Formats: sequence, structure tokens, C-alpha cells
Amino acid sequence: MQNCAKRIMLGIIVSSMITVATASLGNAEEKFQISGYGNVHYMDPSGMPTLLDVDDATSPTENPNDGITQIREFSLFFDFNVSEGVLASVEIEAGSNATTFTPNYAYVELDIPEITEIWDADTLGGLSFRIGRILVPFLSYNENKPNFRQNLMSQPFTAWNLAPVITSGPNFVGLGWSDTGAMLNWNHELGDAAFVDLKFALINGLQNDGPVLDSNTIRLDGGMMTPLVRPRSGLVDQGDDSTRDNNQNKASVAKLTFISTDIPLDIGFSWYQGAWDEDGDHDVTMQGIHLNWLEHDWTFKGEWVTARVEQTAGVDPVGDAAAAAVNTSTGDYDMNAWYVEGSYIPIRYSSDRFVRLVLRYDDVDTNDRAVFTPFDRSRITVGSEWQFVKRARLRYEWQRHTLDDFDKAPAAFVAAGGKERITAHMISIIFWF
Amino acid sequence: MMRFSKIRPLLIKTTVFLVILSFSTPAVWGATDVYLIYSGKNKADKKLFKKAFPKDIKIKTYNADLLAVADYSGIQKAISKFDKAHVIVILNDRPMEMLKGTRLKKTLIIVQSLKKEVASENLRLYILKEGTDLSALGEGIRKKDVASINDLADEKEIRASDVLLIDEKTLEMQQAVSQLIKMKFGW
Repeated sequence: MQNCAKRIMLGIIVSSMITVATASLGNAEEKFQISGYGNVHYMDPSGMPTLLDVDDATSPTENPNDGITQIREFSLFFDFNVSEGVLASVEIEAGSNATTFTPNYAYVELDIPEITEIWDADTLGGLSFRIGRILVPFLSYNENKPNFRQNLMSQPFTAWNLAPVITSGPNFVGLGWSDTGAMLNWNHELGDAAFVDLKFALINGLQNDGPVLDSNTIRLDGGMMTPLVRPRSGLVDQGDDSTRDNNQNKASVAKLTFISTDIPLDIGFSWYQGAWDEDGDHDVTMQGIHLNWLEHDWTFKGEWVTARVEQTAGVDPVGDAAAAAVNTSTGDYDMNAWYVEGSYIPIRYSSDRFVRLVLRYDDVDTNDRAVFTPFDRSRITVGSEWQFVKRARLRYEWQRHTLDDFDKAPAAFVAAGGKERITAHMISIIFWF
Repeated sequence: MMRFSKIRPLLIKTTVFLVILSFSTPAVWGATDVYLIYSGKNKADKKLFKKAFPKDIKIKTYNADLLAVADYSGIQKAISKFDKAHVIVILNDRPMEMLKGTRLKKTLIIVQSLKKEVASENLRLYILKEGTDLSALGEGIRKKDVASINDLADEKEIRASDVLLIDEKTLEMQQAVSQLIKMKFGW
């Protein structure tokens, strides 16, 4: 919370400084806007292993198979037009039943053609410069994560286990992948049929001070067997709460998107590279592709991402002798994830009332060559949403995960109740304004 | 692998350049009069309209296709930008679809689109070709036929209309809109 408060204060101070600076030049045209969104949902999973407290093998954690009702997100967007072409912007998100408050972004943006005639947008294209805590421009989902921009409540595996939009495993720290840094955004029309958009950012990047990047640890509740294990849940930004980078090596992120002006289609390529460890010796490199085809009555979306993680082989960051074979790092490894999602609106009974059907298939493999990991899995999700009033929807979705190579699951995982198939029902109400 | 120590001087220089650039050309500062919103498909129309508008009017243009790659608060940011102008002109259907569900504070002129998805807290005026089927706009639509610039002389009469139907044989669409801008309609 201290870091959260510091970030909010930083955002306010930066905004105030720019306001004062522009006001002193006689050019302050104040304009302030607020909007936002939120959701409440009930989820009832089954097939997950039960867990014990990591530090106390006699204390069970909350059973992950128990149904929960929660306010998952409630976000407010604040935009302040400091002056012609200068915008200060912050998003404050209340998550986890409003017990956590995260500034998803807090930045100042300069729209270069708006503030100077030197850069002519008609000939050179649009150009903006953003600095502060920014949304990481990687793949499509992260910049479109609010559920009013999506058809399902659950996040695709590309955003859950690789690009760390929503963290998995025990270290849930809010939604959205944002980081401190600066971003240039340039776009240009390509004739009448398309335009191109390029975002390039330098950010602190994914980080972990431990010997492995993916250091999540859980304790399985397997009766007599209660080992501490690394579930290898994928990329988690352990430095999310840090106020500074853990090394002197900034991460570079770029996203190049082509947008058709004839049909509502955009296709993009994303790239990320940066060191994650304190010495700056080990890199994470990611490449991804996204596609969105968003027609009025149907949509088709997909993402594919691969990540290469450098790490030292033979390190056991957990130190549980009984599970050393599972926990010891195996050196550099690759991960990958992809999803495809289609939706169709069969019933539309006014301009803003409709029923939509949704189908999504995901696949992920976070396996760093361990014999078994529960995050080598596929998932099918079937859902529907009903926009029953303007700006509010009721959603239902059912998902079934299938764990790969379940015959190789350790005895403790099975004894803890871990199943080959995990299912979940979700009912949600979402709203935006 | 690119080290930050190598990039840092470039980043600092870029930041300083952009900040200086931001404050170095005060001549162009000042409120935008008209925001012209178009899509890449209608780039030619945008050029025609921009060319036809009075030269003493400060015009900004915005390609609404950009909203497809903006982040999730991008529409709000775009709206706050548009609302700094006196009048917002939207060309054709695509920008109306991209801005669906929004409400502008300023006067809105919609050209060659029958869509109703974008509202205005001030005035909303449709400019359409003569003979356009207006049933999509609903019942009770107040229309005015316009054959020449002279038909646009009375602002009160225009304010009492929802739709101006332009006779393109005698008056070009962009000339009609330009005349409205010239007379500062809805400012």
C-alpha cells in the first residue's frame, strides 16, 4: 500500500507540475473527465489441489475449490487535459473485493502534432510521447483488458501465464501489466486501405531478485505428503511493487500493428527483451502475434506468444529435499501459449440490447523441462452474455481445463485432490460508464 | 542485448528535445475551432472538407481508425480532445461506429451518416444528400432542403432542423458545412 500511495502521489505531483508550468505560460485550459467500469462475479471451480500455508504445514489455506463471490475490479479513469496536446492520465483500480488499490497507469502524454507545427501529422503521421507508469504495449489483450472490451470474464492463457496481465498462482497482485518507463507511439496511413501503428517503450521490465524468474511456491496438502513445490505458473512480475528496477538494464518492448480501413481487422507483432535478474545477466525474450476481427454481430480474436527465459541450471530456490527433483531449475527454457476466440450475436432486440454466444480455446505450456507441471494444459470455454440494459451485461461461462501428461503427476499432487480436468462456472455482472 | 547505459543518453536527449519542442512554438497554441473526424476509407473526403473550410479557422483532424489500437481508455481521451473544439464534424459511418455510445459536449455535425450512436449535449445536426431515406433516424425528424448558400443564412431556422438535405447539383456538401463553420453555427 505504501508503494501504491507513492505512485499516486507521484502521478499527482507530475500532473500538478505540468499544470503549473503551462498555467504560468498562460495556456492552461483545464478539462477533466472521469469514466470507469467494474464487475462482480461468482466462481465455482472444482478439480484443483488443496494447499497448505507455505510457512506452516499444519495450516490449510482457503480451499481453491470453494465457490467465491467477489468484486474483481472497479476502476476509475481520470483524464486531465493540461493544455493543447498535453494530457495527464491515471487509472485507479480497486480489486480483490476492494481490498487492493492499484494505479494501473499514471502518465503524462505529449501529442506532438497538437503542440507544434514542426511535426505535420498529415505528412508525417501521428506521434505521441508518454512517460510515467504505462500499460505495456505487448499483444492486444493487455491494452483491452477491461471486461466491457471483452466477451468473457476469464483471461486467455496468453495473458494469464505469459504476458503477465493477470498473475496466476498464489501471488495474485491485481490486473493489468503496467510498468514505469516511456513510450513513443507513431502511426501513419498506408494509402486508403490501411494504416500502421508502432509503439516502442523502454520500461523497468520483468524482474526477480531470486535465482529463478518463476519463483512461485505452494505447499500441497497431500495428507502425509506436504511438499513445497514450484508450480511453474509462468511469468510473474515479482517486481510489480518495486519503485525502481532491480538492475541497470531496461527492457525494450515494441508492438507493430496493421489496421485495415476496409474491414474492422487489425493484426500485430509484439516483441519484448530485458534482463530480469539483479546482475542483469539473464534475459527474458518474448515474441507474439495478435489478430482482432470485430464485426457488428460477430468477432474473431487470437493471440500467440512464445517466451525464452535464461536462467542458471541446477539451482533449487525452494530447498525442500523431498521435492528437489521437481524444484531444481533446468537452465534456459521456452514457454508458449495461444488462444482463438469466436463470438456471435444471434439475438439483437434493440440497438443496445443483445445476447452473444462465445467459444474460446486456449493452450499453454510453462514447462521448463520438468517432468510435470499443472500449467501445461489446454482449456475450452463456452459462454454467453446478455446486455440487458445499456452499459451493463450479465455473463455466464463454463470452462474445462485439461492437464497434459497427467500420468506423470507426482503422488502428492494427486493426493491433494488435483485432477486431470478442472472445471469452473462463472456468473458475472459487468458495468461501465 | 542492448544495455540501458547505452540507451540512456539517447532517451534523455529525446525527452529534452520533445519537452523543448512542446514549448517552443507558442504561435500555434490556442483553442482548436473544429475537429474533423474521419476514417482512412474517407481520406479523400477529409481533404476536400479541410480545403473548403475557412482559412482563419483552426482545424484539427482525427482518423477514427486509430481507436482500434488505442488502449481501453482511448475513447475517453479522444472525446476529451474533441470537446476542446467549438464544433465537431464527423464524416461517414465508420467514425460513428468507432465512437459508439459516446456523448459529446459540443455541437456535432454528422455528414453522410444515418447512425445515431454519438450524441451531443449541445446541438446535433445531420447533413445528408437530397433524397436520402431518413427512416433510420426515426419519426418526427425536422428537415430542411438546402440548394444554395443563401438557404443557410438563417441560423434560427437551421437550429430548428435535425437534418439538412443538400441538393448536390447546386451545392457541394463541403461548401454547406464550410458555410456553417463560417457563420460559427453552434459555437
